[in-house]
Amino acid sequence: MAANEVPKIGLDKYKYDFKNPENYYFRVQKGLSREVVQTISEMKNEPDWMRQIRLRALEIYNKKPIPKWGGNLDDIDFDDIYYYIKPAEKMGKSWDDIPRDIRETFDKLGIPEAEQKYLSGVGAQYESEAVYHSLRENLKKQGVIFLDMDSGLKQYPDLVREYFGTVVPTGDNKFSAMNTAVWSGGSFVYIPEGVHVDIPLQAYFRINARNMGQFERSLIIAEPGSYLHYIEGCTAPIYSEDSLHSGVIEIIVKKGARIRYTTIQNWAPNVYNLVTQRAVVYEDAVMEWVDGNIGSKLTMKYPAVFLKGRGARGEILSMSYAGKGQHQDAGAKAVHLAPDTSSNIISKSISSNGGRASYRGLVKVSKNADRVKSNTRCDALILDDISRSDTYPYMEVDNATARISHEATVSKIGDEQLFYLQSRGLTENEAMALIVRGFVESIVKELPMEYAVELNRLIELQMDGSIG
Amino acid sequence: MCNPQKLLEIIDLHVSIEDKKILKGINLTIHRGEIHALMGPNGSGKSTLANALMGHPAYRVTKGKVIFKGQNILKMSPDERARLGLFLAFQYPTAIPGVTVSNFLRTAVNSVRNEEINVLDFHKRLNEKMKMLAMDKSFTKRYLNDGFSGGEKKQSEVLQLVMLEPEMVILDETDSGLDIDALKIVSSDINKVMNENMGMLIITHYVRILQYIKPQFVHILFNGEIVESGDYSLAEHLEEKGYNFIMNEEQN
Amino acid sequence: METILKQEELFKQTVMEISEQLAEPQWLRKRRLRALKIFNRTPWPTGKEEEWRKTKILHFQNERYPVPESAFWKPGKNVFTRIPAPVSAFLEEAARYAGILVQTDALPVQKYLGEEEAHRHLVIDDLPTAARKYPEWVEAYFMNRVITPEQGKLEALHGAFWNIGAFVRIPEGSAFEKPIHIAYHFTGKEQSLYPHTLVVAEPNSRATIIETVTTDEMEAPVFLNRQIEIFAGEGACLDYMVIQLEHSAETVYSAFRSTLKKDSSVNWRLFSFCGKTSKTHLEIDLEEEGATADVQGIFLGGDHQHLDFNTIQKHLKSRTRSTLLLKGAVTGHSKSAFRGVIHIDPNAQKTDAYQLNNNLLLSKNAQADANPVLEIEANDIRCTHGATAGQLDDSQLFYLQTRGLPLKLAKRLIVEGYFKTIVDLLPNDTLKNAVYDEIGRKLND
Repeated sequence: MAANEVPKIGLDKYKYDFKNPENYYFRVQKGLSREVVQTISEMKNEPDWMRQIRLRALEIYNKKPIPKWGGNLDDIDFDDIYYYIKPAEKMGKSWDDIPRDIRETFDKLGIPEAEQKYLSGVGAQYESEAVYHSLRENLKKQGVIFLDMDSGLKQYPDLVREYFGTVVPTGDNKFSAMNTAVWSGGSFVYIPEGVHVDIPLQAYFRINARNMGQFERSLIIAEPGSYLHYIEGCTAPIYSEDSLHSGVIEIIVKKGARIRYTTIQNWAPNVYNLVTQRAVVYEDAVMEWVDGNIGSKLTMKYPAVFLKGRGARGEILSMSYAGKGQHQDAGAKAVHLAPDTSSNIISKSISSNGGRASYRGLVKVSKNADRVKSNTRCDALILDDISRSDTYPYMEVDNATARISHEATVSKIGDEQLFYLQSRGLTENEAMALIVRGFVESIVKELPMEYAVELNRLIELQMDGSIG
Repeated sequence: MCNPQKLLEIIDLHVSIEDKKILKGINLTIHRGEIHALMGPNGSGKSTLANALMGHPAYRVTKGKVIFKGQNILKMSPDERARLGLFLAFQYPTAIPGVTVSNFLRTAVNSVRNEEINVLDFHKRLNEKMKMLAMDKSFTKRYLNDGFSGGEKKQSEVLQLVMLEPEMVILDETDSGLDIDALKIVSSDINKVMNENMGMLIITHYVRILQYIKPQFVHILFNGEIVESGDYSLAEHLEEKGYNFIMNEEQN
Repeated sequence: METILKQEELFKQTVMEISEQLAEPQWLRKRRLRALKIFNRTPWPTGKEEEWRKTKILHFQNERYPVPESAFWKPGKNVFTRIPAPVSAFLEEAARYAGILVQTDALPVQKYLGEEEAHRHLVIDDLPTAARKYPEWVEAYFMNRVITPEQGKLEALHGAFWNIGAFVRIPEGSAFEKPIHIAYHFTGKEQSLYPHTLVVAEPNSRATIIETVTTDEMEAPVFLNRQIEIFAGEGACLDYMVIQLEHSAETVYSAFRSTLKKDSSVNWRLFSFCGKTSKTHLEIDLEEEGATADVQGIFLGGDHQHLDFNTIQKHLKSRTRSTLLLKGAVTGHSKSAFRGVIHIDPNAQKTDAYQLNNNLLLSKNAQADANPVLEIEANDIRCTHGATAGQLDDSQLFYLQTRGLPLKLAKRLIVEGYFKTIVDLLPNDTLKNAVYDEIGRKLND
């Protein structure tokens, strides 16, 4: 290898690039308008209060400017997006019930197999609507609810009305307003007091159409002392046109409950991924966000914990990989509103092949939150000289009893490390892959096993043949 | 010692940390010129007693009195107790980066004496005392306990003891973390300091320090209470049989 | 529109008056007018800019200022009164320094330059005099290479209205062991002041410069817009220590900028206690290979002070190195904000950058914000930053109390210890004591 040539390692190879013909049951015209919002609401035959929420959200959306910080949003044409596509007439009760090409897509993604092997329940969303939903009988009997959001609204309107928009207000940011106006699909989860869902639930989001906008809306309510691990996966085929994914996830973690929410986003490199995820955490409860950002063109996503009850804890682990043409603007937000709350943020990013990985985070301690503890640790690896890494942490401390620390390093792969491994017989590629795997190990080990295996495989795959 | 004066009197002392009761009614009187040893297994409440006597804010006295030189000191802040002549040599002295040993000692001596000691006089005395303790001069320029070895930390505590000239000294596990040579040095330093106007309470898990600083009285602390008191032979007895002996006896 | 025109006209008149009072050469007057033009066309920051998020720009726009009424120092028109205490202390020790330049509003410029240093062509002068005496140097560098009016509204304002200043030139290949001292003392006779220091360190020169600003206890200028520019030539090595004791000033804007050429090094030391509202911008431009910079600073806010720091370590070429350590403490109702950027250009391979901001919260109502930023566009680099916020360690306080120190004294000792490694960088006890006195004063408030 020539001296100035840097081996490329990364997850740039995208294996989810298979597409179906764009058959759909119903599609609105492109662009976002009052008519589109009305149409979506009518299609869903939803209560009037929800329609009013949507219409108000649209007004707020129109008033809010496009954010100037974070990633570059100048190139996306919001008028060239389909805001709602209904793929099938109705949701399937079993995989056999749903249209064949859609079923085959999820087969390829391994969802039915995973459902059998290691999940308590599965939700599958294709374009704007859920096409399949299941939950093990024993959990149903314990009172656990796991539905797509539209069914949730139909079957539990009072619960939805009580919590919808309380964690992420419509006007929180431009994209939360957009989502509120046109939301469709997503998960509605309710875990009764004291119930432990030991085997994870998973929702899988798939975009198939070009110029598609997917706006799932999830609401998770964990009653006191309950436990849940929820996994979200996302992929899409590659098009030259941009697609948009803008979800809102609201989570309520009540006293002593614990929720782990794991996202592995592997969107195609033409998808803008602008997501608002936030949890309100009450007394002695724990919220854990595990966030893997591998795909997309631009991701702007900052999982947040609002620690409202004494002793509440938030953990945010984030791993991002920015390859060619990608900008991962990911991070975390911990807002300490009560005494004795703590947060721990760990971020690992890799940028290569011209990609840009940014950490953006906020740790805020309010005046009355005594004895807060918060640690942030960000490590970044830059694999070549055309890539970029940024770290933008904000610390706002308004209480003298807080102990807050932030630490970050940016570095390349150490020559000595490479040399050492090579001297033990590893090729340069193998050595680099090993080091990169070691670098992300602390996060990867928190992922569900099959995702961890997949991620490591991707790193290795990428090393192979990437050097001429 | 024909007319021993009461120096420290602990009466029915109960102490809790958070809501956990650690000491459950300690009674102990120390006269001037006396050396007492308080022995006990881990978790018996030895360090709690030391910290409570010194006024650590985390240790809450729920009942009882501590009379030192005729005054109940429980309402006093730690510095007031220190100025009255109470000294605790810590098991784990805290490091304070940026504050040199000499700057710290001068400030402490001034506070305890409540007068501004002349800088030259201070250094003269400091040099004398360090010579007595065979300590290296460069010691004073270092930051307090910062990066000190185990032995150096204990020496630093003894140096403070010498400079502050207290009347009542509590040694909290001063022997822990010291090898036998260091223990000999520190013990001989402490013996140099002890006089008939002073009282001393040695808190320790092991007997070995008592071979170098001989106590007249030995007390066994178990589960927050003094379960046995005696003379030095009690320590020797303990050395033979171990704490299990006491514990079994107590439980039966 | 009309009022704007009127103000522009008024500003122009004032600029011309200042320039005349200082008997400035034509080029310098032109430079002022150009700066004024840029000021007029530059909008005020809106508050949305990252570096202006934490301090209201309003503080710098108050109607009572920003424009000085006249040149601060008028030749031959000084009232000789008592020598202010801090300045007399410095003057008494003049022999400790290679040179000392004292400017106060009650005295003519006091200048002392060691015989040997004068012989070796060290130049220390007030800026108006230097502009006449050494136009070849001042014209080339003054607000031309390091600070420029284009950098911001307040820089442009300064370029138009600066009314007091100092010039130091360290000749090529010369090393000066004794430090150079530039002292400003303000009594409050003038409402707004614009001190400007220009330092040109010629290739392979070496020196230490101390700059102090003091004010009378009771009275001080309302507004200070002070700027320091340092140009470090190839292989030059400069320590620059700024002691800001203008605690009674209302609003202080400070721009400290340095440009480093090949293999040069500039070490900034900041001791910041100033102003009710203070905004400090510190920038290091590592323009050529092998340049290194080290910044170490302390700040202590008390009462209702608002201290805002904005630092930039800009690595533009390879093999450059920069380190920054800013240790702060806030007490009373004071607030501090730190935004520090490490920027590494794509051409700046093999660089090493470090940044750490520690904040000590000493009272319930004090607040400290930190925003350390890394922007890295090269890969063969090592870059680390950190920020912390916390209160005094209870176990340290207890330990000192058990040795007889009352709580207040224990606190002071620990805070002094926290700052000590940086205060120790000052070259003599008079300066160290001035800093410790200020720390003690603030903690006693």
